[in-house]
Amino acid sequence: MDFPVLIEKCRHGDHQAQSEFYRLLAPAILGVCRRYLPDEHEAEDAMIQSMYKALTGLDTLRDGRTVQGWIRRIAVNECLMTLRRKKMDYREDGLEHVTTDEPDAQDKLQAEEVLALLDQLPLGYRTIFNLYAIEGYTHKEIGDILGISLNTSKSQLIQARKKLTSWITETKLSSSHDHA
Amino acid sequence: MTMHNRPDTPFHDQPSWEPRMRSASDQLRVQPRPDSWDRVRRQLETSSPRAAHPKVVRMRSFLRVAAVFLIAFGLWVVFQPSSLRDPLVQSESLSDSPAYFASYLQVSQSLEGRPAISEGRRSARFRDGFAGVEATGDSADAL
Repeated sequence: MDFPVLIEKCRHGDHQAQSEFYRLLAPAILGVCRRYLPDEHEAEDAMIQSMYKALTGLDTLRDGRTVQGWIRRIAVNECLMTLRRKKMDYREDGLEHVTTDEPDAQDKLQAEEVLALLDQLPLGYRTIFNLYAIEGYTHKEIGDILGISLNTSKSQLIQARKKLTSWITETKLSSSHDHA
Repeated sequence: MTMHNRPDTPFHDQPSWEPRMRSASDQLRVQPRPDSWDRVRRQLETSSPRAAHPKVVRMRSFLRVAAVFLIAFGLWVVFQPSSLRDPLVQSESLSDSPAYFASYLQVSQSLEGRPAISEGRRSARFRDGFAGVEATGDSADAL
């Protein structure tokens, strides 16, 4: 799909183009929102708000080819605003190094499994894991975004990784038993 | 050392499953409910400014000019120069001032002893006022 052309049409208020823009990007954006927000309705609300903001703010987008990254950042911000309204409590859980037997990196991890795994994490761990491990923010940036200390961000990430590692290991073990 | 393993980068010291999870996340697609586009469309419709009728546009510009005029007039009333104010309704402190009192006294003294209107001018006015009445005669009887 030629996004720059589609975006130009959307800028001129072409309803057909706007609908097409939504159809192409909404599933990926809802995927981003679901990673942050376990509640399906909240995730969909955040996605709708993101799409609305994107469609009304297309004039600020300089390069149409970067639209997917741009709208993804809008969605992440929208999810963080939703989480901020919940007044989440991020606790510092200690910074001990985690040494857990890691599952093989070659193991296939399906997109749907990502959500299943993240859904098991507490909201704080989940947010910081998403921001750090998936989006690529630094601990300092996360601290600034969420208004928490560097150590709190680090400790939450460590706990998230610890839980995820153990769940992935369990899943791997159970699936290998099933095959046997 | 790869970029992801440098201590100052986000992916430093990551578990081996994390890159796989990252790429799986990028592939994640969740289909929204069918009516979700309608919600976005409704928001877009309510937020986009519609072309107003020319009469409405003219009325708006008139109201804008009127508002500016009223504000300017209000400001003029509040901050008008003291030279333009009526000396009789000026603040008490000014009318109490010795200079004001001296000028008032001077004007009073110059008028003292002079009738408000001279006797000759008064009778002349009287004559002028009844000139038409005398001409008809009937009206004079009525008076």
